[in-house]
Amino acid sequence: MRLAAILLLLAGALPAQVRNAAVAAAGGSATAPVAPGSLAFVTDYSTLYQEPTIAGAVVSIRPVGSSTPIPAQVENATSSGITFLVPADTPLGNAQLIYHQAGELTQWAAITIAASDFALYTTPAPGVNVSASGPATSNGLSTPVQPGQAIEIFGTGIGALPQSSPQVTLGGVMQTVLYAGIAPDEPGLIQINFQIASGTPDGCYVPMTVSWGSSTATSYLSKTSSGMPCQHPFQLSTSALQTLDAGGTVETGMISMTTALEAASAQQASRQESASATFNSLTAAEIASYFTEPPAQGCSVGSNAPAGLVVSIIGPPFSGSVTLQHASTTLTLTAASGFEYSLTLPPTADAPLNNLPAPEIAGGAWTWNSSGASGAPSGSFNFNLAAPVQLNSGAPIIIPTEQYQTITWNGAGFDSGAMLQMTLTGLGSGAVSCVAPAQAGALTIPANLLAQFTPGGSGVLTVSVTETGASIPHAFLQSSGTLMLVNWSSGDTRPVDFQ
Amino acid sequence: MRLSFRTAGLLFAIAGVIQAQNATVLNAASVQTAPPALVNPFFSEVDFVGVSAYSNIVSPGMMAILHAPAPGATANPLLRGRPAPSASETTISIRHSGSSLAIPLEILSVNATSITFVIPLNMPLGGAEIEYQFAGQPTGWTNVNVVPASFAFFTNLGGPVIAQSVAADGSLSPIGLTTPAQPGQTIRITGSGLGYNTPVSVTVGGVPATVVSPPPHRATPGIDEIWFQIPAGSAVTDGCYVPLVLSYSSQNQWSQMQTSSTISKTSTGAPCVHPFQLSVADMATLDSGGYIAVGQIDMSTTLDVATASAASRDEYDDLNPTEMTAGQIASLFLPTAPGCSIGRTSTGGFAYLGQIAVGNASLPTPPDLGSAVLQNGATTLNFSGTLPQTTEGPLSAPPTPAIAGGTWTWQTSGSTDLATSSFNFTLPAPFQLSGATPPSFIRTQDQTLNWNGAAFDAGAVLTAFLNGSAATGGQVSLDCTVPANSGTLTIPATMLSQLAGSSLDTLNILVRETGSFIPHAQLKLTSGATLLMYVSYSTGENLPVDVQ
Repeated sequence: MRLAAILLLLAGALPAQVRNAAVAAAGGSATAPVAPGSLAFVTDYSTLYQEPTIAGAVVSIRPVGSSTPIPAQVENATSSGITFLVPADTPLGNAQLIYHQAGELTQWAAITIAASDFALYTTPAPGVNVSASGPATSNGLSTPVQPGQAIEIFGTGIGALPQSSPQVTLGGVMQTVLYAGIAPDEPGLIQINFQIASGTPDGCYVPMTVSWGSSTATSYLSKTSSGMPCQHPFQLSTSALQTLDAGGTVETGMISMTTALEAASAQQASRQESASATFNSLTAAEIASYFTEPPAQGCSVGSNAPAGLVVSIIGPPFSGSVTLQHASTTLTLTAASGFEYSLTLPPTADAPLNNLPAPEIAGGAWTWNSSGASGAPSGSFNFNLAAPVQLNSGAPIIIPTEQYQTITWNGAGFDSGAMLQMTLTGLGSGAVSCVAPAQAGALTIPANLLAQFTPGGSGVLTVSVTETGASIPHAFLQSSGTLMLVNWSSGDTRPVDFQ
Repeated sequence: MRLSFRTAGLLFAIAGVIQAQNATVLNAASVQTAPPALVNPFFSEVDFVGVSAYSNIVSPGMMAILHAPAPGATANPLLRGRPAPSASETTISIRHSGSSLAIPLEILSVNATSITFVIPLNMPLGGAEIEYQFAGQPTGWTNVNVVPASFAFFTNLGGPVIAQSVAADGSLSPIGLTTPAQPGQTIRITGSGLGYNTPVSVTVGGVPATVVSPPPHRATPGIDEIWFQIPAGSAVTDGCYVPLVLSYSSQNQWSQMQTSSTISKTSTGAPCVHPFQLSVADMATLDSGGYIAVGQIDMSTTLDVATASAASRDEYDDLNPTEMTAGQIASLFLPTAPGCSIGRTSTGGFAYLGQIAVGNASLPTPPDLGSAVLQNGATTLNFSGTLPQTTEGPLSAPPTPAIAGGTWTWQTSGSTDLATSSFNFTLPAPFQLSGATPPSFIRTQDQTLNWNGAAFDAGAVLTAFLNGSAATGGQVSLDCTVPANSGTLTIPATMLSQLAGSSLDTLNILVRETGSFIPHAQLKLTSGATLLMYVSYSTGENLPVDVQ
């Protein structure tokens, strides 16, 4: 009891998070370096006794080793945090951010001032369409930019303004920059205007890259040749696109289907499978994230756990059941936990890796049917799943720590949207994560990353394949205006002997 | 040799759950077994346990417990809504990394969530994989590291080591509060994880004791026995909770390891004089595995410092009626070793510390202490939990604490369990650091912290935690413990040098009372039973630190 009390005392309040204001506006939450002259945002977990005001908020930055805090200009103050301008003369390095809202106690957080941390705003819109003949409009799914129009985009965190002009590509096509600099009367805000070039591809989420000086930032724009609403990769209706552009949400059914292989040894492998479905509402930014945040390919030190959406559901608990059907297999998901239909299949008995029982959540054509379920919109749709992933290795996997290691799997069964994430963990000796297209069927772990593992030690290798972007099985149920997404994942876990 | 069914039942009740990937393995002795009054420490029931041990680290000959993930985890093949499996339908083996041979392990007990087993004495050191299976279930597995030694005592609910005195004829008698060890007696203590023929040394009350026999070093599978003699004469101060320290070497893992606990010792063998003034009858109750009714009063006051001109105070009070065993009361008297240590914050992998309540949680119903308040001068606190935060002020005139130093009175209007009662106790003035804020540490030099040490008594212990960026990347945590009344602490440069330069780190300082200095009193319940009241008080300061 005493220990618990002590730990409670030490724990204190939740740590504040400080980051680029453009990243914060897009929902980013991790603390990251901020640049002099940029707009930054500090999450404030303190309990507000009164409505926050700009006048009541005070922010300063004290560089480590200095006794004098540098006052920072407050640009906005809300109950979720304070947006402030990092003083342009703030020295680079570690610093103490000191802040408080009116009526609150002074808080502090450790931050790092970096030369640049360039990011583009995507919220409330990724840009403003400018037409010579009409009013400016927010770039959106139902209001794309079109050739000949100019567009204004905004960012922050560039640091010292580069002498050169930025280079902008949209859909891989170089654009003509009309203006780049500080936005008029908006300290900390970078504005770049450019003309949409001919040959720029159409799309709801056309990837955009801005390279300026040594900084690069990525974002996206909605663009069509006619200016008509874009053809959404999830087949959302025009009215749904307009709802999203207006700040509304689209009802979304999330169907999760998981099949995981676990092998203790080459003769002792089993499969664990489950399926579930739940329903919630997604915003334009949340739907965009399926298309604009591709996982970075390659390997890095550490374990990258994918972040999930936080779902909040209000309404009566679900009842009835829904089904997922494949050939002669019917999986019935029951409303066992209030706001979720779910089914966990019993694990298969041990079997050799070369003679595994067929998976229940198998590759091929599937049909979702929710008629008769109270918590789900009534309807059905068809989709396809890939065959489960299976490593070509045995168990344990022998990994020398002094040379590169190639991991292979049944890649031919996957489409171009399927991505494989591999995590290699050694007991007490670190982790390596790699991301590769699943259809590549192979990835190579560099020797320098394997060097952290202890020869003679043991570990775990896990691969997981998920679909991304438009390859995520989906359907838009017109009758109820519901977007249905299938979050399928397939995994394989093996023991590892390091040598 | 196999333990009896009852023994097996106990062994899985002593386990705590620590979750790793598929399962977790830890030293079975890192949790306690039974009250010390019982001759065989394994023949008893326990109600709950606490765990604080290295997970997935085993040593040759160790009794280890494998836990599956927490209930509800889909990856847990042990929990499928089926009855608890028996040992006969369970298999467990260990495979050394690089070997294709899985060595079957001796199973001591099995239940629905854990398997207790013994690591072979000839197990090679290094990485290994433990595979386990229940009838009809898929094989589960987890990684472990086999090290030369990783020892823990079998203790009584995390309190004193379970010990017996050894008579000339070899018979054993329990050591307890009413039956303390005496000078010259041979004492048997047990634990697990000493590995193979690892040399050990023992001190009692800081005095070296003669280790008279490793043999029979491991009379029971997985259990290390240590026999030693209580130093003769009056070299060891009498007490109910005399520090007992076992040191052992563990080549290539740690140079020298220490495991500490306490033991009851008097010069005559008469019951010890309890630091909380418990009667012999109450001590006998504890020795026999019983409970004492307790009212725990939590009081804390902590200064939160953002800048020298902006400090505020977090304060808390609470009242917890409960029932405590001998081990739980003894845990208030565990020795605290002064000094500094440094460790890297875990960033992944399998290391995890935790605790859980398992087994037949049949704690007696705590007493109803009625409507109670705390009073100090004009201040009355009614156990509302977190007190309203103070407005902030400069460190030169910090906010006045509600939980101030001075004489306090706890009083209750009474209940069916307790008549109208009160008692007085004294708290020190709250802790406050001296010097500039934020402190600036030069990482290449020893750094000294000073505070209002004169405010504290000899039982107040200060622990400083410095958390920040490591020079080699990642996070690092440094902690130092000193007597609070010394008023000063020097953090050695050898440890500070492991912090990154030009970084902003966090210093958390905590002072708490220990042992007999914990404010306490005895009251009587209407049933005539003893009610032990004690105050779990802490004071501290949280602030930024510049590390240069």
